[in-house]
Amino acid sequence: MKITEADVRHVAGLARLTLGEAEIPRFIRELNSILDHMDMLSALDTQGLESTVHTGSITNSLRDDEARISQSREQAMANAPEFMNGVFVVPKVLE
Amino acid sequence: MRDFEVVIGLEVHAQLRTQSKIFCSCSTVFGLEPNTNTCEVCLGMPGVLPVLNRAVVDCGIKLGLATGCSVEPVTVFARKNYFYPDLPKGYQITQYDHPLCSNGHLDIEVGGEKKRIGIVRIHMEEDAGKTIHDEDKPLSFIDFNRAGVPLLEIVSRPDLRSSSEAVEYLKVLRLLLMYLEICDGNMEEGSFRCDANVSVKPVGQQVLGIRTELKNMNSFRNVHKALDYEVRRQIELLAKGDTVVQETRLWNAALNESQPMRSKEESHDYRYFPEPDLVPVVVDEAWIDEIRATLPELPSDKRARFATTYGLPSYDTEVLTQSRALADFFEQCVEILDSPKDISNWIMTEVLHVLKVRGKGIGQLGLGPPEIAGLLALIREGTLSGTLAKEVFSEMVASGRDAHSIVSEKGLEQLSDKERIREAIEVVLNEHPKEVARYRGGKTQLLGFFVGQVMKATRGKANPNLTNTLIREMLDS
Repeated sequence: MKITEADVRHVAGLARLTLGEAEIPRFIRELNSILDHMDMLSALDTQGLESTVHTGSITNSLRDDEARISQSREQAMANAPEFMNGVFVVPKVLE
Repeated sequence: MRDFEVVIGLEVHAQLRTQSKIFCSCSTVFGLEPNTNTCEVCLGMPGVLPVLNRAVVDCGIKLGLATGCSVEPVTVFARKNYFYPDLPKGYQITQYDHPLCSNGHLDIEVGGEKKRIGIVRIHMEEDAGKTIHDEDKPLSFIDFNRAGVPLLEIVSRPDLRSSSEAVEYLKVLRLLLMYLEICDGNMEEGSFRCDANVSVKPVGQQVLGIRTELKNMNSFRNVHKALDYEVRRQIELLAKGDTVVQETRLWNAALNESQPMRSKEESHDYRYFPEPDLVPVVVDEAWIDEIRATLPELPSDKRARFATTYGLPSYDTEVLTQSRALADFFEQCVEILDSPKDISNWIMTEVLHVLKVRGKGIGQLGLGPPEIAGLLALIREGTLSGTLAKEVFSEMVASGRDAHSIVSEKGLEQLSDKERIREAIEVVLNEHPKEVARYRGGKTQLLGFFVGQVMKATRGKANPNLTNTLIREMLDS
């Protein structure tokens, strides 16, 4: 078992996920099965192969540097829980 | 106490002067109403896709070439995952193990000694939004206008050994970015920001000490003070047998001290992985050559050329090349009037003084090279005295008019007519018989007094050299 209960709690914390106690054993099992699958891939000889960074075959999908009118502020704020005087309002965060 | 050696590495974030953001077409203009330069992409709405701005890659290649980096043939974006309200997607698109450029250098000079500082890498990434904390209520306010503005991150090797070297490196890098016209270099507005990794170790020790990361230094002065403070703090800790804690510290300019940033220990677990929404960028030789052809003369080359071509001293070449516009202004003046040192002197004193007082750049002087060269030509041909020239210059700056018309309108032409100067001297000598007698009795220091009186009588217009000679002639005869 590569993934321990502590790992699951840690990763859930990083992703801001609240897991119920009952869900933890399930994630330990599922994450370990993913890693087991990776182990199968690691067993293959990949000497001389370039690493795959993208599965698509195209490169250089670029646009020219032209500024266009952005969407309206009304649209920007439409989905925000709280918006005031042009800015998004969130619970206080401290650096 | 043992001697300590300081080890500093710098990470600079330079905001690029593109028209549009890195992954969407929103404008990058600074200072607009909050959240007006935003769209689905830079607000991180579900289902949108980023499209890379070609000009960002151009800027990165340009800086890479100017710093002797190798440009990677295939460059890839990565996701850096963390939660902060100014990062709408929950990750920043940046580069990780395939940066655009790597292994370059910048040359600096501190205390007359030249030093080469290594550059580990230059990569492209998006800026985050801006957070403002409410003073009273437990609220923060977010403006996403800056989210998605393109940045180049330039990472130095830990080659810097003092705060002075660090500041010099930053100055050289900033000037280079401005010469390349890829960043406006404005530190107060945050378009040129720097973080520092600082550690100290006993002299001779090979292993590096534990480092801290310093943030929030928005001027060269603050960088200097913050680094000195941090070095002193670490040395004091080590000297009394304590250890340095690896942490991020924020410089507080108001208190003149750094404080540890309050953050969760997990916050540096960024879980980078290749960005699936962007395809790799292949930079071929043709692209690199195309950018190389646009490279301007770099600051160090320009300085060297100003020294050899115009015979200017090192100080002059440094001042004149502090911006491309100023250097061009100087050269355009020299094209009109072949007196490089006179022009250099006038620019370094009078012109830069006016610009400093007004807080403006050479482009906003309101006078061009023909006007400055025209004024200096009047001094050189003897029409205008150096003293009156300053007066004329102030008038030119105020009105935007040329020197010639001001001089003739105010009748400021230097008086070089021997007969008329003699007449003025005659009057002065008659008014001061006692001084004349004392001069003739051997008190020749009084010559300056007579010159002053003649200048006063001619309202500063008399040619000073000629006046000197004539007074001496008349008194000695």
